[in-house]
Amino acid sequence: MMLIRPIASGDLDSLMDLARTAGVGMTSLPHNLERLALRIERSVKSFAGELPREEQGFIFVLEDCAKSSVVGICAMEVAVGLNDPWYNYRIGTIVHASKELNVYKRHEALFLSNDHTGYSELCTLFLHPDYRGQRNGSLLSKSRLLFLAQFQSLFAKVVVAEMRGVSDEAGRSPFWDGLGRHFFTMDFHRADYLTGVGQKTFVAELMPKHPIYIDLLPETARAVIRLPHANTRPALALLESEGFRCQDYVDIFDGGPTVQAYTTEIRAVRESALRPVVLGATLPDAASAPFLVCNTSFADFRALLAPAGDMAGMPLSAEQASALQVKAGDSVRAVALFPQARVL
Amino acid sequence: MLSVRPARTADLPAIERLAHDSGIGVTSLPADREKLFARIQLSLSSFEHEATAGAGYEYYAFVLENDGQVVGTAAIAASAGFDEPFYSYRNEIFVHASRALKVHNRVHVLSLCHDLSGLVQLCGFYVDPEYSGLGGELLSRARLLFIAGQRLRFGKRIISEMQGLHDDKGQSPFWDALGRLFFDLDFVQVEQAFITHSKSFIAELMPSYPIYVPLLPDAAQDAISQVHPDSERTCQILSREGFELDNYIDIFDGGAVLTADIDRLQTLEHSRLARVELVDQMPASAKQRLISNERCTGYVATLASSALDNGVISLDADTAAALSLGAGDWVRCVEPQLS
Repeated sequence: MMLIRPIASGDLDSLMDLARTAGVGMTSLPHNLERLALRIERSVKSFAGELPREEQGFIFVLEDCAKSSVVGICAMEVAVGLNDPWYNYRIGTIVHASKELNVYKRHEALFLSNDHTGYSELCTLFLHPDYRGQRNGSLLSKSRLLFLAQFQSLFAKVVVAEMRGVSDEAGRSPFWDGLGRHFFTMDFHRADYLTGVGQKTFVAELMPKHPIYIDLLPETARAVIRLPHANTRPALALLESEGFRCQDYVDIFDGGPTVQAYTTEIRAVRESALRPVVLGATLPDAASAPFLVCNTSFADFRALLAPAGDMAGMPLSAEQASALQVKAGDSVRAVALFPQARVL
Repeated sequence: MLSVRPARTADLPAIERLAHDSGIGVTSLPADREKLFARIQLSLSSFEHEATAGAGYEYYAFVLENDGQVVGTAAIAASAGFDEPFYSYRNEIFVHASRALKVHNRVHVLSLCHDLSGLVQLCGFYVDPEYSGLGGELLSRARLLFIAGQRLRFGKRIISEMQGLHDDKGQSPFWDALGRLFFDLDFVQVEQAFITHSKSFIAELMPSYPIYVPLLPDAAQDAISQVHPDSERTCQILSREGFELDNYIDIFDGGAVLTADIDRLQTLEHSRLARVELVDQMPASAKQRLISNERCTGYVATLASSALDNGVISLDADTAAALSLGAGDWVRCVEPQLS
């Protein structure tokens, strides 16, 4: 059984192992013991209600209960940019036109913005390669949406997610090479690392403050604006299926898309509902449409996948109920793991 | 004998021929008869204008003659852009630095500006190549002698646009990398557009946000603040006068726009007023000087041998005649850069 739960202090070693597996490019999961320990501590304190809003960040892990091992991690920030400025490029349109000269040209420019200040963010997401497939990725990513649905008042009206942009196997980013590189004396790998260890603001403050005409960038850089890294495409597709869209905001370093959605309009938030737990009933066919189910506890949040069948209640096995720390008649929040169209 | 005087209507065919020969890049000298005619008329009325700070539209056109034949032309606009903004890019350096990251980078940025609007402008310069030596210097600096003699007509600062780099076919690497993205026109076509539309009109379609130079292709970066070989001589003359090269560039071809304080120019600081004395035999101390009379509509400047002693200048009869002066009249003179 695969279970989502808040990260705990004892997970540090597992997290270091995951970070090593993730490698370069996973900026939010740097292979740095001190940093990871601090991140865990921040999450633990957030679940304990000990931090102000601007510092709250929740980390969840995916646990393989049979082996008691941590195989994935996901996280969300309650409100970004309230301590350090949060930077994006907004892609804006500029029209240069003259009827007299018969000129009409539309240009896109990158405007450095802090527009997402105060928004909630889906951040780190990493699943061990051995566990990819079998819906583990969806469980890992979407469990956050169920947490969001259950504790909506904690979060902002808009949720964003920065998708990793294009880079090659050597860690070179064409967008960085075409733009950022000119303003630094460091390569993408290094800038990326600094970003991951919490120095993103420092790095961002070295970036050009004036709008950048996209036409002035080399073709290789232009070609990757708004594009996700090949490895990130599944994660992006998953968020898109929940209603997230790129609204022309991109990462200032690698040009990857930032997707966003109004909290209330995220499918998992809109369609999820509280249901009473039903124990001892005949469980629905394991092959039927999976539901994402979570308990309603904040500090002891748990989530897993279970088939719901067509009952009004939520049928669970004894093992599942135990993992969710619920008993018959308790409320759980549930939503179809995939939008209806995906099931067909 | 080489001399410079105000342009007349009768010079139109000669000026048109010069404008035609000047080719691409000297946009202040369009090969367009009507425009040139209008400029000469404007020039005639400007010379007749009272010697005050003026209204701003004044435009003073001159020609260089060699023994009565027009071989060059040049002008002074009292106010660059006059009633329209005068656009240029200002060279700026931004420092992108972070103590925490131990990074310190200087980034060159081009900022569109109107800084040069309303300054005095040396423009419309072209001289037949065979006269580009001393003739070019006389034509160029005769304008500064005129300004020195008519100081009230002109403001404090002065500029001059140098023709930027372009190839034999008239294509400009700076334009190709920047302006062309905003127009579907090549540089030659844009030059044509300047004849039918004002330069400011077209400038308003250019990118208004600052341009980060490192983002431009190398060929365009290399063209910034550069001067076309045809303009090198002019640029050299003005540099020696005290014009600065580094501050502004043309927004179309990236050519240097020279700037200076008028009163600190060599011609203004070092030219001397002297009384004419006519001599048959030049003293041994005689040397070549740029000499002008102190008139306005009857302005003449020439290059001649003369001797200067205690506020008295010895001229031969031909030079005095060329300047329409007699003994006892005042002249302004300065030594040439070339000898």
